[in-house]
Amino acid sequence: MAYADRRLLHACCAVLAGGLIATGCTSGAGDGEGPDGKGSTSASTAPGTAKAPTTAPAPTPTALDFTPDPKRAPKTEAEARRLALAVVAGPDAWAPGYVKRTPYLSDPDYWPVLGANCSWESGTRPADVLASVTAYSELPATGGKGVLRVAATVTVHRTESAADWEMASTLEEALNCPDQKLRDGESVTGLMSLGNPFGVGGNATAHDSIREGGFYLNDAVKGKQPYSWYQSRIGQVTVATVVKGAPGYQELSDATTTGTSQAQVQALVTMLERAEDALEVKP
Amino acid sequence: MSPTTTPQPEPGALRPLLPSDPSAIAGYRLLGRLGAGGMGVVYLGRTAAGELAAVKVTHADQADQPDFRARFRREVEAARRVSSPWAVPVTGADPDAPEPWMATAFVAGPSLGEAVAAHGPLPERSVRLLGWSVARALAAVHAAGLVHRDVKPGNVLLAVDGPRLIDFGIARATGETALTATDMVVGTPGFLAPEQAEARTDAIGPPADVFALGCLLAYAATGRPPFGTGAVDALMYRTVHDEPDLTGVPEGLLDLVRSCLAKDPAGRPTAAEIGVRLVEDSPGDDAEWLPAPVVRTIAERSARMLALPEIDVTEAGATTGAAAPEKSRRGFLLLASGAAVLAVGGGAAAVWAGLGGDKETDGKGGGKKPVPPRTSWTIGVLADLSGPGREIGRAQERGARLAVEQFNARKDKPFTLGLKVVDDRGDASRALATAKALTADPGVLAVLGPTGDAVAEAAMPAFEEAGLPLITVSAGYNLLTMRTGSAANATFLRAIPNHISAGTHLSFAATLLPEIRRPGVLEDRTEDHYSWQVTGGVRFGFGQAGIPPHFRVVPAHADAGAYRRVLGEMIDAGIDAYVHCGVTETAVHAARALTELGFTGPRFTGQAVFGQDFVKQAGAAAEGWYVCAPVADPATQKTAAAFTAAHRKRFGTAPAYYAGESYDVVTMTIEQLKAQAKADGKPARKGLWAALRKQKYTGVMGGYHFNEFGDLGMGGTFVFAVQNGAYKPIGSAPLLPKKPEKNDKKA
Repeated sequence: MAYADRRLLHACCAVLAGGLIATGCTSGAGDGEGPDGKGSTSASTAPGTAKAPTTAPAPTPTALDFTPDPKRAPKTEAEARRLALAVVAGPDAWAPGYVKRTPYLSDPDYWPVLGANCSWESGTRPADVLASVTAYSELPATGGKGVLRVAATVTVHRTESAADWEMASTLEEALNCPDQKLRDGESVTGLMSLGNPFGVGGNATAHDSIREGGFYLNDAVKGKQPYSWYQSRIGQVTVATVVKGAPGYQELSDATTTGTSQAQVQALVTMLERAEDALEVKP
Repeated sequence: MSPTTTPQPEPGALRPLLPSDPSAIAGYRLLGRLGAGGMGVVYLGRTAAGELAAVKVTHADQADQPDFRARFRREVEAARRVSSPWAVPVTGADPDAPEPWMATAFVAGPSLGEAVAAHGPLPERSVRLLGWSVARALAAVHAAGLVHRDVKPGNVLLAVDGPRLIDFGIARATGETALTATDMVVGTPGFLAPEQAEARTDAIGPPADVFALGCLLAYAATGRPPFGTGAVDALMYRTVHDEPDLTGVPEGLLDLVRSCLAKDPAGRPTAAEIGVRLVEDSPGDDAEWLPAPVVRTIAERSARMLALPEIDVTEAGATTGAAAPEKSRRGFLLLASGAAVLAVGGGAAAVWAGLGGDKETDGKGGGKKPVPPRTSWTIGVLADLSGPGREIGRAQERGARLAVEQFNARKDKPFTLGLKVVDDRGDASRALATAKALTADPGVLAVLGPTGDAVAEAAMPAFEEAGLPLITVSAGYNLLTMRTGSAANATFLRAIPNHISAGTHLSFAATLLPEIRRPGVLEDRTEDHYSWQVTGGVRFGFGQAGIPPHFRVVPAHADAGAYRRVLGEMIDAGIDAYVHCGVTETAVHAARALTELGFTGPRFTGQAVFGQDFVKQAGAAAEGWYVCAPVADPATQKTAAAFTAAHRKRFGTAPAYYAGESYDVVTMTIEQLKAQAKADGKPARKGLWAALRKQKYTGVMGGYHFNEFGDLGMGGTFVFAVQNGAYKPIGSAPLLPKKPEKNDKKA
């Protein structure tokens, strides 16, 4: 599992590093994960990437180790929905103790949009989205802690470019609406978002990744809780995990307490690995 | 003679200094004479850090010939741009000294010519690895826009870990006799391309070096130059008209060598292609690359270096011990290369530490150091001199150079300063290794640079570890001055606003235009970290002014069509100004799209777009754009008049943007070093960052003071307007927003 652990660390850095918040993540550099040498035979190869007879240092990877197989790419809504259901993170992908909520899965046509008044409304799935599935889980209330509500979303686009534009629009949401109404009695405030393309800010797991963070307000719960949304893209697929904080929990781990971000990253990386496995060329 | 020629005859031939010779030149203590000719002398020198160097000094009368200094300077600058582990780097130079000098790393190994003469042709595998390395070195030479013009067995030195190309970066006229001709053991004509042999100067380009490489490989494989030897005229004739004699060239190399020797320059492969072809079919293991007798010769030479005067064995031993783990692979190779090398142990390693390819000399020193007190230190420059930021990097190098030279010219200077310039090529993947050329040199006290954010981020650990202050005038990424956890920045000083502040300043400048109520702000993800920081600053600034922007985010490298669509939607949404938080490539798309869409509102953008490329590429569409930069125009600063004049005199041109600020921060640093020397007897890295951070300095371009994090205290953003294809300075961006309400009252 060393490999998966390292991936997890990378993912942790990918979503947390970059300037919004400080974390104890190391950069992941120098962990010995060498390049796979893909496409390194062109004449314009940078020094050190070709196989050198003596001392070329191992460069940091310049591209994600993922080669999609066009034959495996979903092309119909049915194929896309099958993929989304196979990839989406259920409670087991988060951490022990998480359970399904009811309803567990979103309706196939569920496609929320952020309205002009910064309020989330139901909308129509755009033509370039083949399928989108959200799976709702929670950590039930226990020992003075509130209910920790989480969700995982998989969205399958027709093209990689369309998925790229979805990532951009996620960044737009927090810029244009730092305060958003989720539904009656629930809102998020003070949102900030930050993107990390592959190779930037420690992102070594996905073509692109975004962290959006702010505060979660629920009329039924006293006080402000942390809110965090992690979203990554691999090829034509985006995956996202969201945690709405609850009393008794903290987002980031420290010396004594495991933060909710650990399970959130675990669920995200699980979905990335499943998507990669379902889409890449098999040897 | 070419001023950058570096003959390196065998160390056995090292002759003692003459009474008329200086004992030191700049930071180099001279150990003896390597060679002498009509134009100058080549000395073996040693830096205070123990590195050996070939220091070539030109006679004053030669230096007084017309154009000599200008050409020397050009060649030194060119040579500095070449960066390859297989090319011997220039380590120092002063074209303006009464007797101009230039130093290169010293390689003790025999030349290819000597080795073949002594031990016969090399085996095929050695020839392949030789070809691979020299091709890589030539590719770097060519990438720097240079042609070597003198690739020959005497200019390839053999070291245990691979060959080194010397004497590169020379804009040498064909037929000009180099100092090497008399001093090198091998200086054989017969390695010239037909176009060189015919002196078709216009036709001489990189392919001429490839032809010479073909000759070199044939020579290495057979012991004979492929066009024979003998009278020069006959040799030239055969080169132009006859087929090469490739008898004895191994079958596996024949096609490659033959293609290099095509008479038509266009028919030859490029150096980079040769590198690739030799790698593809090379055996991949890292066993020693030379036959045992040649390795023994290298070892013997290295051993002899121990007997050189003033080479301190104790220190050399310490260097070996400390340095070996850092350069693991090379260190391993060195030790694994055979009993002959092991026998000389520390000596070989000490010499090897001075080799060109690996600049990681040990900075920590070891134990006692019976070295005379140092009187010379160095200011480093880490800059992008050949990559995407070269316009900015080269300007910075010039500013720093002028500052150091002016200091050295002062009679009352308490010490002298060298300048060590390292080209990071804007390549973050190599940045850490590149930075070590500076951080591991204990003589370097502070470094100006780097040019770009990515290199700064990657190189920072080396500077932190070494406690070496790094002062930038162009890297604005916010995290460079922020640290995770409890550790605080004590290394990086930023003499410009970070990107977030710059974005805020930009929006404040925009609020000066009273009609702006609904600015459209576009975040272009091409350089994501830059863009989100500028966007964040702009968002904050407009927020301060009570102006709600309309934001859009666009994926990296989106095309012109995407910009037309998104900007059309932004205009439909009612934007009355446009702010481009992105790079030049996409600003050009945006500028054209806004023109096509008939948008009439003001347009703004920031540091990443500030440069000639934007106005050149966007043309008429760039007219009227406001570009906010972290630097001022020296022409607008009265206090910069003397600096501008000195820059013109020194470099023949007015200072480019970023040169003045570079001059300022280097001068500011020198002032602190002087204060340290006065207080403690000598300047040092230690305490320098804290002292710089605390002081306030007024330079020719304005004032600099820093906050507790090492960021510029306040302001520092300058607004330019594109007018008639040029940047017209408007003024400083305001430090506070102008709120619309106020404007309304006025109106």
